[in-house]
Amino acid sequence: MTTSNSRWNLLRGFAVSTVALALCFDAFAQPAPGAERPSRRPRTETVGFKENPKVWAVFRDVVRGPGEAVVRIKSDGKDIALGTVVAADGLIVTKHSELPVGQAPVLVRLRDGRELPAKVTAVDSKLDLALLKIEATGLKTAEFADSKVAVVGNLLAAPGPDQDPVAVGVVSVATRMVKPRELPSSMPPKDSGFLGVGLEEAEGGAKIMSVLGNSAAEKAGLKINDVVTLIADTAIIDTETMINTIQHHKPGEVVAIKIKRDGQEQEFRVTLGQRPPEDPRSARRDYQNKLGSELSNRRGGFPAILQSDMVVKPTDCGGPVVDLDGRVIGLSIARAGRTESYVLPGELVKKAVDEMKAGRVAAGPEKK
Amino acid sequence: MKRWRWRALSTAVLAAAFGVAGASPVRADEPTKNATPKVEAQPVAPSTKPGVAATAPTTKPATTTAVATPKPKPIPPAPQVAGAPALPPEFDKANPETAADLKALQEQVKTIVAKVSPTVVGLRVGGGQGSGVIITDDGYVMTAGHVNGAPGRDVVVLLQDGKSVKAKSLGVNYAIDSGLVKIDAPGPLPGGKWPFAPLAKSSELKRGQWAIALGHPGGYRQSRPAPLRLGKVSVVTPTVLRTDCTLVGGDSGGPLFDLQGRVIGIHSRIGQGLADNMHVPADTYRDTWEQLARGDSWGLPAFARSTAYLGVQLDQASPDCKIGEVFPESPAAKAGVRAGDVITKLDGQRVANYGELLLKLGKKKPGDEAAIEVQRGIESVKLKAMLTKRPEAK
Repeated sequence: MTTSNSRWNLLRGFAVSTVALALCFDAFAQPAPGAERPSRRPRTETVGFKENPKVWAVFRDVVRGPGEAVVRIKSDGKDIALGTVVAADGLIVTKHSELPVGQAPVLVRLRDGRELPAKVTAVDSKLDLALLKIEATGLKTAEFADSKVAVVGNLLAAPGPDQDPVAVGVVSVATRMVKPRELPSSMPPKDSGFLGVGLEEAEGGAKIMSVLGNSAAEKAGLKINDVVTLIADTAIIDTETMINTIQHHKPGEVVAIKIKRDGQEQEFRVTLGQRPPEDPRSARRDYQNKLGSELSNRRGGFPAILQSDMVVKPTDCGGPVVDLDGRVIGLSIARAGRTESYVLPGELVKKAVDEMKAGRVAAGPEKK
Repeated sequence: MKRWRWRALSTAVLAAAFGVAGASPVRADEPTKNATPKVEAQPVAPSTKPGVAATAPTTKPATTTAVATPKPKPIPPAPQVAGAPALPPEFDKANPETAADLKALQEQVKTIVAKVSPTVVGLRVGGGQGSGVIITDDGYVMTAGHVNGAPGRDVVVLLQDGKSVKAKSLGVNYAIDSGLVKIDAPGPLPGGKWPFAPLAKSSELKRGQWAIALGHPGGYRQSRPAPLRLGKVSVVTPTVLRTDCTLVGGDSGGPLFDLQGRVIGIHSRIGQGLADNMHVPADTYRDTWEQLARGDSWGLPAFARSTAYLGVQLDQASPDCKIGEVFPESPAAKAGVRAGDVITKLDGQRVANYGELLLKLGKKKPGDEAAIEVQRGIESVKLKAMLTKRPEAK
């Protein structure tokens, strides 16, 4: 927990052992602590719903079938995501932005305990999905269903690599289209490179709308109205791809950036900079959302989501989400806030997986 | 104990007072015989006869017939606890045990959410956003005390269908964090009535009982219905309920329902754990209905009354000390502080954020002078304010 801001220290002072925060959005007014002293509370949480092992156990039958298609994705000895097997001969879909930056090896642990090296064969940056390939056959697969069947109040579970689900909850908001700015912006990984530009969607790439003074972009000579089309070997189809690509490089790294300026293609070599300290405004807004659970770095940019109150850890994203009838209505795509985890609707995942399998995806590290 | 009330609340000083005092709630809710009717914070009760209640009896000319007691503006009776059909037997178990139990739970939750959703509203008060729930057919809205902030403020109520209506904040109990709002417009139902949620008796809640939370986390968004959260009650006391229905900023004032669709609490605050979600028990709204509906505010520690008063409300969307509102006739207004100013220094010391302003103001007393430096656009302006005691109700 961060206490860099004196406001929170102050709150801590009066709330004794607990930071009791008023819930008025971004509000300053604080309710009195009242007679209740949180420190006297019993710490047993077995009466709860979402973090109650007794409740998880009831969901075992629900997740048993689809759970057979769940694999653990690992890198550098750590669990980084879950994956969902989509082809018996070793194709797995997972959350792209949880994969390691650069060339670090990715391992897939199967249900039988085998750990196999995986290769990223395709990426859908818009949906933050990656398709992995492992050398295996006869795997159990998941069939993504239309998320229309999941209405508000339906119970959901996220199968994990074991018999219990990794999360349970309800549909908080049924599948809806979301505007680009409605969802929280990405929290860039700490060691990610920084270019220093403001972007807008443009035909055939990402258009630079502003260049930060003294930034990597300014030093390299990038200008407003330049349309970025390629970074290193990744084709830039939109702002989301561009942001993701930059974040997958480290500060100090030199990357080739292709742009279109006045109809002419030009190439620049840019030394990526260090990310400036976080904006205090967003830091404060994020504070309450980060209370109690870690959030995914990438929480936005999805064209449509189903919102759930399940508590899906960032390292458990990439796995399927099922309803009480065992239908796979989507894929866990982000732990987005204290009250919400996002599920990528099954119909979108299905389409994206088909296109990635067919090699019809515009953006991916392996393509030009 | 003397009854008192704030006309304009400086949130900054309020929070500072709590920060230092943390005293047990001071309640001034005993009936006061000589209280004059409060005109400006009155709810516009539809049954009020014009010209009767708005005049203080002591100012009436001598020709008026002497009456034993002045007639206050009528306040509608508190909504009563509503009965509800018993839940199916699946709900007698402490936890669901079978797939059938899960199905029964799901069906019940879906039925109730569909039923109560139209009663859940978003609230905009000053620069802040919160939530609320309509609890009478004439438009009374339960919310959290800190969403109201103070009685008599303009409130915009954001409805499920995307429409918005005007409302006024009524009473506030700062200690328990309860607040009431009254919508000034007729509702969409026949006869201008509002869809409303019934109340349950929160003292009869049991540990482990299911609860449904609705509200507007992050603030009201037109494209997003109030997100549902399902959880269980873990603490029941007369002053607070606790559940694992996760809440976040913007949910404040939103309703906690039982599985029969009755309001059992109002979202108030959170702690560090995901199971630390605190709600104001519904009973307190019924128990203090008259004070809330009349527009009283109470429940502040004694300390709060002796702190210096500046008379500003901060812009809640700003990370620094930006002033959202300057109360008329306040020390800040007299010193020339304007809405939109950003306070940068107090008595020559840098004030980077709200917390620092609180700490510095909290150390000053009525009668002290405060040297305030503000950023106004590109200008830096130095002002001097003579801090006063907080104004009391006349």
